[in-house]
Amino acid sequence: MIPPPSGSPTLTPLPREAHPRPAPAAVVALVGPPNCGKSTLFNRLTGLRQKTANFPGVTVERHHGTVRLSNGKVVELLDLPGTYSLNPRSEDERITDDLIRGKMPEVCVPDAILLVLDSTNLGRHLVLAAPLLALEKPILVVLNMADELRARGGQVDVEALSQKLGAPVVLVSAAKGEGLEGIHRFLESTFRAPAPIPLPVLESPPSCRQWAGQVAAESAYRPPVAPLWTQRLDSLFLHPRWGPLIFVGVVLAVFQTIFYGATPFMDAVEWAVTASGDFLEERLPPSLWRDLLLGGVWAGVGSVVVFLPQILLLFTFIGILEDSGYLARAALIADRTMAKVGLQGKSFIPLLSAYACAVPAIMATRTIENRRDRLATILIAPFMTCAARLPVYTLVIAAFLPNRPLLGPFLGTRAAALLGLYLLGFTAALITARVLKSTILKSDRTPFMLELPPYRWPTLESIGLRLLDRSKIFLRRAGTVILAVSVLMWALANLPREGGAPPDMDHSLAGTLGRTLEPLIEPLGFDWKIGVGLVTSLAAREVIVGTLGTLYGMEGDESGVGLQEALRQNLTPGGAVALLVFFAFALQCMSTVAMVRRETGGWKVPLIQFGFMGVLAYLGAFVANRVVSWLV
Amino acid sequence: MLGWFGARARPRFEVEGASGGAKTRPDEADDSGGGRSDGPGCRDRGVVTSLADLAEGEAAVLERLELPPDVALRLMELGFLPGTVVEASHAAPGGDPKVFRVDGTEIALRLETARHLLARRRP
Repeated sequence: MIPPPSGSPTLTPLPREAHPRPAPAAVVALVGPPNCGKSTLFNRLTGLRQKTANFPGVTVERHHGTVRLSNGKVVELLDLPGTYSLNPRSEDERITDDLIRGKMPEVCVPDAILLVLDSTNLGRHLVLAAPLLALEKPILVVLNMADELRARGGQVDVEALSQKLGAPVVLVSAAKGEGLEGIHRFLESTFRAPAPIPLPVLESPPSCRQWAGQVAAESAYRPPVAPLWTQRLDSLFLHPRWGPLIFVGVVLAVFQTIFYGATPFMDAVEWAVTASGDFLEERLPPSLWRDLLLGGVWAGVGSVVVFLPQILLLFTFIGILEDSGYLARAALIADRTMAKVGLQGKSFIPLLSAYACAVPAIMATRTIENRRDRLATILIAPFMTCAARLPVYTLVIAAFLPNRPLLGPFLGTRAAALLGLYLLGFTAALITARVLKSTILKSDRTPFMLELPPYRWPTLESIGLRLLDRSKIFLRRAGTVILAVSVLMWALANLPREGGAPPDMDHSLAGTLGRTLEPLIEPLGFDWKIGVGLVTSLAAREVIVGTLGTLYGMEGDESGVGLQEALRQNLTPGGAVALLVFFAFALQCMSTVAMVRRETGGWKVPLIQFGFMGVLAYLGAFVANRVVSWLV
Repeated sequence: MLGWFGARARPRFEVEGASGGAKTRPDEADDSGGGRSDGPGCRDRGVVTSLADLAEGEAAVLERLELPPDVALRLMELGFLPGTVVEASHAAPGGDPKVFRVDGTEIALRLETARHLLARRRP
């Protein structure tokens, strides 16, 4: 603090609040095994003053936030990925290990460690204390879940444990907010390295476990009785008959919510964007800049925020499932099916969400710890038939296929064709997964291991913070790319200007591009108009409907009879099937590309994915055109 | 089977238990009773079985992990230490993966992994 200049008693030092971002006096890392309530504690300590970013060059997320202490000290808290040991085997664990050993100076070197352990299973969790104490860094051992320990009749002598470990120990409940003053006191204090104590052989898990058991016993630790409710609920949720039924129920609920439940909200968002755009249009003088603002920027903002309802709903669901402990059970039930294509149970929920939209689905792959499985899931998710493909499918099917009953009143030809397209995407995903997992993404030797945490009530705070975090990430990272692409697409369709007015579509840059593309797409049975549609639909698949409407001079609506008629004039049946196949396979979605870039930490994966799906779409459409032209 | 794990031939690896002195025993079913001394305190009765073969509610003492060292170490960090009591709990539909109660927690393993964890049923 700056002392007040002598001689001017009216000047007092600025109050702390006047400094928006005081430099942190210390960096403290939160370390702990999975399921110890570390993130809950992090949320409790930092509240809204937290940020999420990726560690440089990797897919692992870095959560950090600040804690302001009552003595004015500001501490930067870093939430590290959960780890069972400091023998790094996964990417997550390597990062934790590197960071606390100070091998990642470009991020930061922590001054002290908060080791978070689950007090209801102390003998097991104390194992991690050994390698951390060996680092001889200032450390506070935080025994979490004090409320559960008490409720289930367990106890521990904190003083004795502190003596044994040579480091301070506090008993807290992050969920209830109990005992946090002990953590604050530690953070306020001057950090001191722990007292040296006899440690086990760190490389030997049996030795560490034995040591941990002994330390727990010498600290009068009485383990709590097994959680009764968890056993009861598992008898139901993992029942051979009821378990799968409940699973299907949960899955249907998630699917319905993101597919239909989000629709009114998305409509509302769209309406708000359109209405505000119209409002601006009336008030601004006509010019190129007004068109850019409304047609490019405003539409771009609209296409970004329209995803928010789906993302918020999906993450509310995932938050409840994950925090309650059911997600682990769902992964267990789905595992056998997913294993058939080389994936694992945790890929199930993200892939299911991809039927609504690949963007939230790719964000949801965060729950998969295994890096290769996660990457494989990200790579196949866009093959699932997302909601944006439906307008294209509906338009083309309605234009070319008369609706006749196939199976009485239950299934008509059109519904069957739509079902076939769902199956086509699904099959492509399965085959891709199979190929990836047996070649470049072959699982490392770590087999599937899934810890089933006890069931717990999810807290509003934790889910709320997660929603806020996901929305911020989406808006900042993916949103900026989507916005840029949207402006670019506007430029393609609206430049060059003809006499101060937007050009006809066929004279625009997009039109020129469509004509340039024509020789390339002619073998697929597409002409330049479809080519323009393929270009503009890079922003989002359904945009092709509007573009074709403009090109044919019709109202752009998939149910519009005029547009169907025009399409029938313009495309052969072979070209129509080719168009469907193309949309089933191609990654015509910049939002997905932007999200994959953000989630994988670079352009490599999304570009490979875009190229691969594009080639597949081209070849698929080519074959479809040939086969159908030969048949008809 | 779908397992990438069991299918490939891989040198078996024996991890020394907390009781020490595990010997290489290529055949998992050759327990003809009292063939092996685990040290003074150990009871030597019961049948050697793999965790994959435990029925729900059955418990056994883990003897050794016939898996590559890094996988065995990871499982040991999760609590699958030689000498520990492991109880089979619920399972996914179809019986795979299986949930095991070990060291105060529950961990699910696929049968392709559990098959390589050898344990002795308690008499």
